[in-house]
Amino acid sequence: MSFIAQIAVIAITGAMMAVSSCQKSESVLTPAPPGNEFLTTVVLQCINTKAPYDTETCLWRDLTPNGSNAPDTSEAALNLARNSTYACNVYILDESQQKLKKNLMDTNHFNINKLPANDSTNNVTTEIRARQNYHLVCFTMTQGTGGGLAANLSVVRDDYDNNSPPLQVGLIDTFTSLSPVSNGRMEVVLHHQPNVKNGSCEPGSPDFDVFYTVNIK
Amino acid sequence: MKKIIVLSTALIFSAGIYAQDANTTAKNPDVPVMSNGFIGILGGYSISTGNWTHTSYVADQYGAWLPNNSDNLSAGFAGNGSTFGVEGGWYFCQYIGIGGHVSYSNFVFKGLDSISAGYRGSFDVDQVTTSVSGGYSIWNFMTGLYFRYPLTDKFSVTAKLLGGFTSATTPEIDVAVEDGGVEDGTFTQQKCTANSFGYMAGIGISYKLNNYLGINLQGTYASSQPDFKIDNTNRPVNVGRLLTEYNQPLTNYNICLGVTYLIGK
Repeated sequence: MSFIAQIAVIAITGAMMAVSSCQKSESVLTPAPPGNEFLTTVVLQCINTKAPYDTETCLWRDLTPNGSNAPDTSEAALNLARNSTYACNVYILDESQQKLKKNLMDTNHFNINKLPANDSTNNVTTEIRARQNYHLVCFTMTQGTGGGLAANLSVVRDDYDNNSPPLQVGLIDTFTSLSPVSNGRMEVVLHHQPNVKNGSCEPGSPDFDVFYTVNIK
Repeated sequence: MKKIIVLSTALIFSAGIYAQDANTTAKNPDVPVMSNGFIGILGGYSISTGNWTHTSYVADQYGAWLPNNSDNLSAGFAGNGSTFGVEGGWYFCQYIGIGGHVSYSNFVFKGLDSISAGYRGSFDVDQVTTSVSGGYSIWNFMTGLYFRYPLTDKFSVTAKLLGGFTSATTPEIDVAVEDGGVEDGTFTQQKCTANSFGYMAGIGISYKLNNYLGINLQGTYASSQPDFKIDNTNRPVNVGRLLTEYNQPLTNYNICLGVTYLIGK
């Protein structure tokens, strides 16, 4: 009996040690699922605050995000009156699966309000707005004629996210043009800044990076 | 250190078996010989139950974690684990005694894939790497009533009802974010320790190997509800699961084997 008892004690003790000794750490890598949407089209629409009939729309489009074709920049020109203030909106579309209807697809006819409200296939702006806490639109002017665009056009972001404190987003902006007549290029970049958004353009990686020609007349 | 203590205890008990064989007392087969007290060790499997075992990561259509969703706030991602402890008691009458119980339990983190996929979706990034160091751990320091009822001179049914101090610690969760080939930092839900009142109830069966040594199998139910105040570091962006407080019952069932050294009679 004593031998059996001793074996029982040792066995039970060993089992208790085994089950109570391990508390391991573990790690898992989660990749993105396939099939994310593409950002094929970026529309910039500006309305003169003192003359709403002066509505300017420019459109940058790349329907082959894999780079097989060059972007379509035929409508990527923004014409602004000098010494004017414009209320501008940035719209982001995905036309990789379904092109915009013909009555919406160019700068003369574009009207975001005519897109169906639930048209998530085309209008990615809603999604970016929902994810505004880690997105930032940045505008950079490059030198051109007439003293340079950088000196004659200022951009102020007007919309804020839900971070604490709130940070700018840039889907809604105010463009202010000065004299004299000038032109140049404006780079518009949507920065994806997960866990690093701090109000500046440096962190993160670009979701899109497009150029417009801006003419101040 | 824990292993050394357990091993030393086992050796002491084992040595005692030989010593007691030469000193066995005469038994009256009609009256089971009951000891006055006991001290012992126990260990076994812990099964977590309740909200803290849930692995919910409820998000909207854009992947945003919903901070007011009750499932999100109660999910604790606790799995099953193990427990180890010591206890002792003194029977002041034939069937009822008082005693104390100290145990340590740990519970693995359950649903790591789920929480990692949730974080990835919330940040809409190429990938996240989610790491968990350990799991939940709970220390119980309890005292209360012990009951026993002899079935034969070898077997007896035991029960206990205890209450006392519980100290629990949550796991640390680290999430490394990467998108577009850019490292976007690692944020951390820090470990957190909180204390509360806890209670435990259990029932078991004991087998007396000899006058000084017994083994037992017991099932217990333990519960406590610490109010964790959780620190999160490197969280500049208000996105994804962000718990700053966790106040849910930490309930668990334990199935334990024990060895007891019997004192008196």
